Amino acid sequence: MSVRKITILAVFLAFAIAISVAETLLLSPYLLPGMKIGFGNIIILVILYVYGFKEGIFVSILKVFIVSLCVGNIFQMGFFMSLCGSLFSLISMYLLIKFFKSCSIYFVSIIGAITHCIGQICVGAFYIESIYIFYYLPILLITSILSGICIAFLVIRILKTQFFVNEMKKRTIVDSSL
Amino acid sequence: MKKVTLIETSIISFIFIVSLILIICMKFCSYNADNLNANIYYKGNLVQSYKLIEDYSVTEQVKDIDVTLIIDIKDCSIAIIESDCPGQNCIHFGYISKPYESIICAHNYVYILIEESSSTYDWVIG
Repeated sequence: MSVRKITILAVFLAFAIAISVAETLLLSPYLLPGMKIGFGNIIILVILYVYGFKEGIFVSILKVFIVSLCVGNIFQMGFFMSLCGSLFSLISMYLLIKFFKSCSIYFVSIIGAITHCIGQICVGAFYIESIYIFYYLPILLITSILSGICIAFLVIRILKTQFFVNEMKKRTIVDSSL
Repeated sequence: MKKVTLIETSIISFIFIVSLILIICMKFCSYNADNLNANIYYKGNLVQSYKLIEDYSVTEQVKDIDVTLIIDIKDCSIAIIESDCPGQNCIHFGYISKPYESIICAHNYVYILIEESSSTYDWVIG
């Protein structure tokens, strides 16, 4: 990995952390319990499209660790829910981009948001040892569809900027999937 | 950029509609309001059960658990009003009163579930 790429990823990581912490502290109290729009996912989705899976998982895992440190729930239940949700989401989005090249960014983003919720609920059910937590899933699915649309809308605008157009030209494989 | 296809729209619409139907079913399904229990589970085990009846109100710390969790029962509904979890998400759930509505405090491994009891005698006021 070149120094240039490491620097760019570090800047993206800083952006993702700042956005996620701000969202957790400022926005979450006004939304439904457990609901987040997931603005930090904008950065992850952009990295996934522009650079690839390896870079995406690097930024995603570091983001979960550092945001948990900032919020104060590292190695607690919320941390593991976030980690599992992020990994579920990242893997599902990558598989869609890789194997279903005709998928739109909207679809990838919505599926990412949905799998993020499912991942979190599964970890929650495992931890509190109850399947009744799944009663909350329909509400989270609807909110994740809405947040997925918002995120995709923003990602499309970001990917159209000159910097990302140039970056994507260097990655012809992923470029063809957009 | 790829356009959203009909298949994608159909899949997302299907998920949306199914979720909406489930929410409506849970919200408006008929139930016997005189026969509801608020069961409090800690690490998967039932630790306390309250009958949700009119003219019964209580505010107290949940017993037999290692964490701070104060519940409030009034007007046939239950809420968590104080907790030592960092996010305070469980408090934001507010009051719940319908069957299978739940309050989850993931940080403390506690969840409160409203269930219909089969018998009117199998309840304990803690």
